[in-house]
Amino acid sequence: MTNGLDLTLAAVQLRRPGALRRLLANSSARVGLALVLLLALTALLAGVLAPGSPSALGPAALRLHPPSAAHPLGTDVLGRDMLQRLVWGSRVSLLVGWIGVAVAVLCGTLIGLVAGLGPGWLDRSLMGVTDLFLAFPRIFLVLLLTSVSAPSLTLVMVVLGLTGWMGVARLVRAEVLTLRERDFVAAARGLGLPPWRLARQHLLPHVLPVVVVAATLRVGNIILLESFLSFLGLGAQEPTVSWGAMIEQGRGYLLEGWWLATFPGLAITLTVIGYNLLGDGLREVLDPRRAGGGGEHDR
Amino acid sequence: MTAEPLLAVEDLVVEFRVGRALVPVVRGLEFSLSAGASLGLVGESGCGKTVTALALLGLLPAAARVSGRVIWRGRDLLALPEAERRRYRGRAMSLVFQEPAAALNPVLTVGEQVAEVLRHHHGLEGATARRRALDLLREVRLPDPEIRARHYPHQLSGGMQQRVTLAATLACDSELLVADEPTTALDVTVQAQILELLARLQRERGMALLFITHDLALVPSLVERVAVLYAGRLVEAGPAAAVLRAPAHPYTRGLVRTLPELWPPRRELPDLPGRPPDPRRPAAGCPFAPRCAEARSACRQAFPQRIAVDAARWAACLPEVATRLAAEEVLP
Repeated sequence: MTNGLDLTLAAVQLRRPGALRRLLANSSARVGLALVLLLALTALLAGVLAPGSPSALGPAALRLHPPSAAHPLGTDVLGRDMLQRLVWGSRVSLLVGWIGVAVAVLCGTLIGLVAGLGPGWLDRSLMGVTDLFLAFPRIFLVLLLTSVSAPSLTLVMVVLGLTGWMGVARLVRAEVLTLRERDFVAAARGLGLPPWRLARQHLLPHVLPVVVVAATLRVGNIILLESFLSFLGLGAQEPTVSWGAMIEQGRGYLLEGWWLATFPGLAITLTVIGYNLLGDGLREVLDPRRAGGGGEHDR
Repeated sequence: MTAEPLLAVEDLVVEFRVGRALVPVVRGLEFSLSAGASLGLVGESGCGKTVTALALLGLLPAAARVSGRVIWRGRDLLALPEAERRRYRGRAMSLVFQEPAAALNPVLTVGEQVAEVLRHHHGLEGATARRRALDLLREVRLPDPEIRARHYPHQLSGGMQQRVTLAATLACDSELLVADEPTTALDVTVQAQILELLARLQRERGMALLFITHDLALVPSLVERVAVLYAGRLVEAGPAAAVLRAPAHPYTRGLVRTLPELWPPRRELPDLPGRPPDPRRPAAGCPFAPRCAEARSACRQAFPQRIAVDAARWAACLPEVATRLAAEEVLP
């Protein structure tokens, strides 16, 4: 239920100094962090790395050029530089990944806390809604919701967030249910602290490691879904550059222009791998029983 | 009529749902405390002491059924909905737990845990709350409070942890402090310090104190009155010194006789034969009868009436036994 995390120890680990150093000692986390940072820097510095508009038409002579010294990743059917478009496309992936996850994690944590702390009837109805959402195939839900209005990136982020909170809600609720049996929660209640203070001050720090790991592991998933939606034409619209949309554009030229779909695909793969490695590494670092060297506890 | 008591507990019954059955753990408790007064609630493990404390604060889990009345300044707390009940926690009464290590949140610094209570109850903010928390940590004599406030509970010793939980209860300015075996998890020298601290805080702040313990020896130095609990029922109550000197109930007498004396050394400590009854099979009559040397057949029929031993004391025992025992001094 808890990803095998000992919550209390994990929460203490998160607050102990040297958390980053311990994270870097973990090889999968190191690779994941490098990929994630690389992606973040690319997105932030897109204007410097690849100046100019990525959607402006290139000269007609440059259409569908294979990779060369001038255009390392080739050009697309409209003569635009693939590398430049890939760099700008990272912004969309990052934005959708993080905002989508933020919406999902925020909703999930809130619902999980309320369900875990609230009276029985509230818990039952919230979990009923959660099960309902889980029982409905996510992709149908996403397609349904994104097709109700004109496709836009904002819509994609909100929809991916609103269809992705259930796992987090269940995780958080399960944690809260075990935590509320602990003496320190009874003690805090005995001091007259109301449920919202209890949740914020006493429970949230305990569930934070679980939420951080779950969020990191979900970023890749959401980026993948965004590409999928853009591929179907339901996500980012021209002139916004999105990796998914780039694959879609390359779909008709798999033989004469293999680089059109390959490089954006590779970018998506590396990004997803990066977030997953980082998430796995975080989980290991936050669990002192599995991580070597992190387990000493001065008690 | 005397002045209205701060807290009056009447016919308090706590039952736990176990499978289909309801197991009575506390069976008709009755006591009262006036402002600034102190009462010791004494009994063996499993007689319902902690359950009573949790019931007073309304902290029992959903599997518990509580009935009777817990009257705070004329208001029955058991009749209140949870949202209103909460306002009495902390402000009216607060609870010190047996295990300070478990009662503190392991992932928050101890200073923060005290400051949080101040923020809630007194609306203090930021630096003011932190400064006031330090004052309280000083008041409970936590060594180096400025440094210790930034520590996590596991970095403190048991005695220091218990001082922190006391500081958190002081942050509520409670009128009644319920201390549930606050020294059981501590070693003896620390135990003495914490008891001294409790006595001083009660005196200086004029708090009422409900001191729950299995150790009769701790009682006379700390509380004025004592009530003895056996199998979820009160069997004797009265001024602490008088009850200890000449207990009127055979159970209290058994407890007093088991107290070790420092001098002259006894070769073997007497014990109280038998065990407390299983709450799942409550018997009719006096629950102590199976272990009682004085038991008559009447004891197994019905729970004995309360006998007034003198103006301030009573015992739930046969009149002839209670009066005879009360005349015999066990302790000098």
